Amino acid sequence: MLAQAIHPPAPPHPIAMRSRKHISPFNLVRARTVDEAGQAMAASRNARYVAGGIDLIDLMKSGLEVGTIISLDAIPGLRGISLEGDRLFIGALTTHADIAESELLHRHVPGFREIWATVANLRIRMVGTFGGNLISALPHYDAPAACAALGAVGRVRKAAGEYMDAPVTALGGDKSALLEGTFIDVHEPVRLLADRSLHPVLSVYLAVRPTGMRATIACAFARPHVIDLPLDASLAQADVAAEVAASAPAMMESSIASAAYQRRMIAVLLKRLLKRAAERQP
Amino acid sequence: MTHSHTQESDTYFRAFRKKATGQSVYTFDVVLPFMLHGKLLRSPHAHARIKSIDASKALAMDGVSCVVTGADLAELADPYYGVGLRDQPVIAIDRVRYVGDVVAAVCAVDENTAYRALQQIVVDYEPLLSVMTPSAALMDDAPVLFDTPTRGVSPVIGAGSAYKIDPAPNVLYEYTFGYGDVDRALDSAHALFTDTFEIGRINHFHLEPYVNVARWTGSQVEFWSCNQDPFVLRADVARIFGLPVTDVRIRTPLIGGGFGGKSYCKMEPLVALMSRKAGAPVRLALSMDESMLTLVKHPASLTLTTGVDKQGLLLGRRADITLDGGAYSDASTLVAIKTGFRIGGPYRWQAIDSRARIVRTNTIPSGSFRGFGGTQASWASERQIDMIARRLGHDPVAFRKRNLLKAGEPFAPNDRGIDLDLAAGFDRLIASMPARTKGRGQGVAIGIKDAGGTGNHGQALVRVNQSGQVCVSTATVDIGQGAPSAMCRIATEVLGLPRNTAVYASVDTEHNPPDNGTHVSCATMITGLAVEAAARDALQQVLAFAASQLGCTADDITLEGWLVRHGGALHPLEPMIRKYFGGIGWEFIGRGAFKEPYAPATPMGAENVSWMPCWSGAEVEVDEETGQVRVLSLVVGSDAGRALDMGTCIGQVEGAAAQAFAQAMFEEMRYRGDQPDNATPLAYRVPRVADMPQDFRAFVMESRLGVGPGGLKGIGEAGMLGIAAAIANAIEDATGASLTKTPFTPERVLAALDARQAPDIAASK
Repeated sequence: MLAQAIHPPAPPHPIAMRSRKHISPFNLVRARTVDEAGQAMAASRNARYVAGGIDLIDLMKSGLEVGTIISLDAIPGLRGISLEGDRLFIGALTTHADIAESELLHRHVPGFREIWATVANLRIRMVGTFGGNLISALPHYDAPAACAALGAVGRVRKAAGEYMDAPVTALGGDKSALLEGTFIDVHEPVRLLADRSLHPVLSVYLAVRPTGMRATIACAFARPHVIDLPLDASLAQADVAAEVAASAPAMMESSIASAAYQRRMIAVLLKRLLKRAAERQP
Repeated sequence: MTHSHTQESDTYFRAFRKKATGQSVYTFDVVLPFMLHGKLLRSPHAHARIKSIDASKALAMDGVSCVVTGADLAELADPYYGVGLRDQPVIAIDRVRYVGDVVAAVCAVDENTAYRALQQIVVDYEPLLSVMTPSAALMDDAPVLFDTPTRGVSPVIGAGSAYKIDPAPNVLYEYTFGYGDVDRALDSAHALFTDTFEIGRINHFHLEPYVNVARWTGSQVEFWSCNQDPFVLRADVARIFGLPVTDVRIRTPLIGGGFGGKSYCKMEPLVALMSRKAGAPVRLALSMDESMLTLVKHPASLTLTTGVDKQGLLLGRRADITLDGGAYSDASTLVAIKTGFRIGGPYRWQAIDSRARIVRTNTIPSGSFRGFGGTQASWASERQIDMIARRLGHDPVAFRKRNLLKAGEPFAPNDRGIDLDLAAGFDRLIASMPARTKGRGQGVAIGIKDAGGTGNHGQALVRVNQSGQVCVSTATVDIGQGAPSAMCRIATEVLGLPRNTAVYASVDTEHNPPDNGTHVSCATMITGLAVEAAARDALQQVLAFAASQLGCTADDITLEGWLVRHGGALHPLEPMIRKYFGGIGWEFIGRGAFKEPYAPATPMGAENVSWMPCWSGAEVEVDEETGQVRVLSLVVGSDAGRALDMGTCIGQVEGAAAQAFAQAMFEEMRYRGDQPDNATPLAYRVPRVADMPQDFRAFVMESRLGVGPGGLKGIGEAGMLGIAAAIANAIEDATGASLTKTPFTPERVLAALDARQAPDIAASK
């Protein structure tokens, strides 16, 4: 399996200062409720929320100055997966390992759990959070692609204290917004397929519902490229996949793989997913 | 005395326990009174002139002691370092030559203060045109990296070898090697093949970064260093500062991996300069990011023209090798020599003609890496051997066997004969390969290199006290390879004492006898011979003493543990020694040495001490739509001559093979424009446990033909050599796609699959 890591595209590493030993002094707030966290954010200059800390600490080692770190660890209710009516809720602090082990998620979104058992490595899965992955939204991260395929929405507390539901592809821009968790509509059966075999060159996700399919393509774009497909697309897999590949927008510049290769692989991987969908393979 | 411990409690296992419980002390852990911390400011430009450096704001900060820049080098006797050829300034003087070149160094009370001070330093650069690849550097109008002739001398070479220093603009060094009439051999060939192979840029990725602590006392400087060559470093520091070597002291604690990256002088003179200017001990611990900007393995392009007769016998080979040396020399001369010399592989030739050039580019300096040019040479040679066999319709296994050197045959004229049975190991590899499965491909390769260094030597002390406890003292450092255990075992075997009676002295140039460094798989063999001789010397002293006490000759007695057998009686030694010497007792101090003599008639200037094979086999499955390769089986073997500890030898071979596997499949340091694109631990991909083939096996042969104690040889680099070629050969076997460039990314494999329809590049006569 090829799985070269892609470094965050921004901010660039200040190569002249490559020590990565310096983390700026910061204040630490351990919030006990979401509102308390929000208030701390509003009251602080240059503040950031921290969950697993995978990306934030790496950015700080590279010179990102943060005045206040607001730890979300102690807030009850942010970690875990639950069913709320017809919607499945994945708390922002749910770790990748939690997802890979969730029976509830497996029951309502078959395929999700198996895919997540292959994301990152064991140490990252134990610490890294689903919400952090959505907020950081690096091009090769999996949560944005999976959630976009599933049409998931994030419940966000804005800095002013109001709550709103936002598409997952819109998360991450506003650092003062606090993601409480993600809702996946499960009122009708849905299953999730993915081909991560070329990650981080390319990943393709496919959510299959009785009413239609949605594919997302990650790694090659700043945000997952989303394509809605009719159910009968799985019958003409190669043609549909080729068309999706041909009409995909321009890829990001990368030294890992050429845009031509990535485009060609969209057709290959999507065709395979559509075939699996048609044959009802896991 | 009694020996109640089991053998498992010897030096080897004590080391494991310390590592597992966090008690091992690395240079990183060293703390001295009044110690300051250093941080380095690095160039963001690939090539630029330094117009000015303003450090006044940094110097005004509380806690900042001093800032060192190129202006401080004026006080040094010789501000340049490098192996043989010296072109790298201790710190950039007036020009930077790669992104990451060091332009200023701050000493402060702690790392944070030093880091903040760096941010206050203003460097005014005048950017210059850069050359990022050898082909760009060799163009007629290419900017030239150095305006003056390179200082220093070439390493020693012998008959059949030649060199040129600065033969052309941006060419640091050219090495040529040959024997026989290659034109005649190629003209007489039934078939001729010319192919070009490339290998990517690789970082050493040692987990312990570069760490040095320096302290001056008057005119004497002492180091705690992670450098794997303490006496080589001592000589470099002495030359640079104009000191007698006795005024330079290097202590080397346990090293957290090096793979060649910690060979030879690097930033140690700069740390000494920082300490001298600060008037206090200074610790410089690079981050892993910075380590990655310090040294890489040479990327290379190798064009081989090989002639074969009708029977499939190899006749002659011409090699044109271009090695990207990066911005500075480091150990490039040695890598050029070793790549050019080893290009024939383990085969019999009528003639060889090779040229290896080091081309300067504005990239991270290239230097020694586990295998020292051997991986580049083996990759190209073993890939082409396989391609030739397939093109001629021959079985690649039979083709190799027909041409393999036999034990005792010289690798090159006048050199030491091959000290192993290459065919026997190859047979074992073939027998170890899985049964053929439809849809999968299998490939093999036989890498080979000389080992032990050129004209190498080492010295040792073995001290045995009145209780029969042993202290072995050499300059071989513990870099995770198990050297202390090996040295103690060699000594105790000679003395007939249990292994757990021996300890290995810490490495300190003020106390230990010297050697040329812990590299080229020489320690167990070269320094091991010195230890064996020292133990014999100590044993003779013990026997002579006991004989004098028992009123007989040394020939009349034997040692049985720490008892002396004289006739039918056993005499405990300890009371005998205590009675005679009194006081604190006595030590029998044995001295030993080994020197491989220079021999000008040999190509390297001395006979190569040993030969190191790497029998490699791979089985792969290729996804022909994506180009993704799955290595299902990887089998690798080598010859230890004699395995002092089979588990350690297997571990060395497996470790090297895992490293080579990653370099073949995905590991590569990439540039985008003139900026390193993935030179961070987060972005640079190294192998994970899950990457390794499920069927991964290593074997170690024991030919008993090495020159080391009991016929042993070094084995540390062996597993690197044949892996990439074996995998590429398996890919061709599975699909017909021909890979000529590492790593085998899916995109490259897919391109090779696409190219199967293209006309054959072979020019068969």
